[in-house]
Amino acid sequence: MALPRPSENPGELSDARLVADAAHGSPDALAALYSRYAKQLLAVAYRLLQTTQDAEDVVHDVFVGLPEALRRYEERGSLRSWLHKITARVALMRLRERSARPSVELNTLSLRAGANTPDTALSIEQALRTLSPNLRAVLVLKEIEGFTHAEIAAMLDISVGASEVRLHRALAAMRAQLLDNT
Amino acid sequence: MTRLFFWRRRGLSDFADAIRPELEAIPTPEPTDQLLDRILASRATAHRIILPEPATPRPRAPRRTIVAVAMAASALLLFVPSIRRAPSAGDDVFASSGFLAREAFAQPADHDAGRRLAPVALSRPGAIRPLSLEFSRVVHNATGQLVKESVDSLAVAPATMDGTPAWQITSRLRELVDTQHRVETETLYVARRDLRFLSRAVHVSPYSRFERINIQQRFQGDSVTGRMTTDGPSIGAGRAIARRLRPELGPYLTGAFVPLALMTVPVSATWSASAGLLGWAVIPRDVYTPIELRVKGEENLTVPAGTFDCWRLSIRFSDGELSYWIRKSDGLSVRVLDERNAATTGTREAVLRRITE
Repeated sequence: MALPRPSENPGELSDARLVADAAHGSPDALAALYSRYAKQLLAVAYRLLQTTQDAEDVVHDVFVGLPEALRRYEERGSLRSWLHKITARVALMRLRERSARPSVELNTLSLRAGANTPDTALSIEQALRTLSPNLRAVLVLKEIEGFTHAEIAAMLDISVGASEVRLHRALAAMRAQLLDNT
Repeated sequence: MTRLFFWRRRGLSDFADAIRPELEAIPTPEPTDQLLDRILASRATAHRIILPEPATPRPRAPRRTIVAVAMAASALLLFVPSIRRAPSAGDDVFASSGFLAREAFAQPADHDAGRRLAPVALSRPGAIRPLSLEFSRVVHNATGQLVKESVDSLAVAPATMDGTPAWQITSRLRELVDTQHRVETETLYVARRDLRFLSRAVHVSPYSRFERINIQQRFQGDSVTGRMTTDGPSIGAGRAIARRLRPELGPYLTGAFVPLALMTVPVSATWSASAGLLGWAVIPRDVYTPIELRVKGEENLTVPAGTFDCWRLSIRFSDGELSYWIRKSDGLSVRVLDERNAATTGTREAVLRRITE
């Protein structure tokens, strides 16, 4: 007679167990990792790309590629940090693709129209949107995601000094935007 | 308003501290069940996506360390007037490198085994066209740790060689080896009409104990001739190249030509064929090695350059095998994965990063 197996709720399993199961292709483990981390990863992607559709596409790509990538996961840092870095890199790749095919987005247009209205003060979010993608990426990665300049430099393939300069410019531009609109 | 007054008066770091809570509070989308369904559906249809590695910060030596190292180096130069070089590896030093060649020629070539498969038929030479490709290459050690990451490039351009309309195929590999950049370039000229090799030049810098090694090859009939030379640091070495390429082991491919070769071949689900991978031909062991290519399956693969319907192939050497993905639509190389020594030395992988046409 087979011994009864303890019921396992994937939502209660440790990260290490989910990583092992997902790496072997378990859809349940992948779904559990999704429920645990998708919100944070969507936030990373959205802050860099500024559109929900693009952010969802990035998170889709990250989770579809995750089982194979987890086979190389080194477990030296936290899973959360590793996932954030990979998501940021996928989002930055999409940002570069978008830059190569320039297009003006509707939300950007409406924001610029709004900024010209004298009694409309820019919110932090709106000011963030007006930054160029290069400046916004450094600001988001440093000030919100907490990456170091060395990590940002590696992600963006720029020097540490260039990352520092971009952050300075991004903050100066944000401050100027906010002060001009008060 | 108080906050704005504060910002006017204080530095940017204070401004950053002041806006950080608001930045973090910007609303972001919620994950949906539909997105999870889309992910699981993609997995179920064998859609595979190759994710980039988490970026590895480049080491930045503190100035004090640099000064200390420079002083130590000066002291060494003062007190040790000549340093004996490590013994040379003899003839082995003049052997092929390059992504595929390095793997292939690491095996003893099985020249006498005879051909088991029909030769690769490069039957659509017109499929080669001007383009440039970029590949991301990563190397992991046996524990899965990322040890090397680089970008390789390949370009095809029209050219003329001795009056013959040709394609100039240039590949460039650049990698960091022990804090030093190693650059390898191959320039191959093939006839546009039938893709026969006309000439080839390979430069690797640095190479072994030399500042640079140069391989010049010319192709005529079943022969390859040319010269190997080296640059510095002392008097360079040089050797003539004169080898016969056995026609029954052709067609011959090189590291630069492999990513394009199957553009000219009608590949199907049951396709398999053989070819010879050309080495530098400086030493007998490194002239050519037979390879066998076989379609193993089909996959929808996402790499940084895009999502492609692919054939998954194996490339078999005398005692090893790589996995290789090509785009179904035109045979272009999309991914190479070498996991043969995953448990001992690690894995090597290259994925298509960018296509410019």
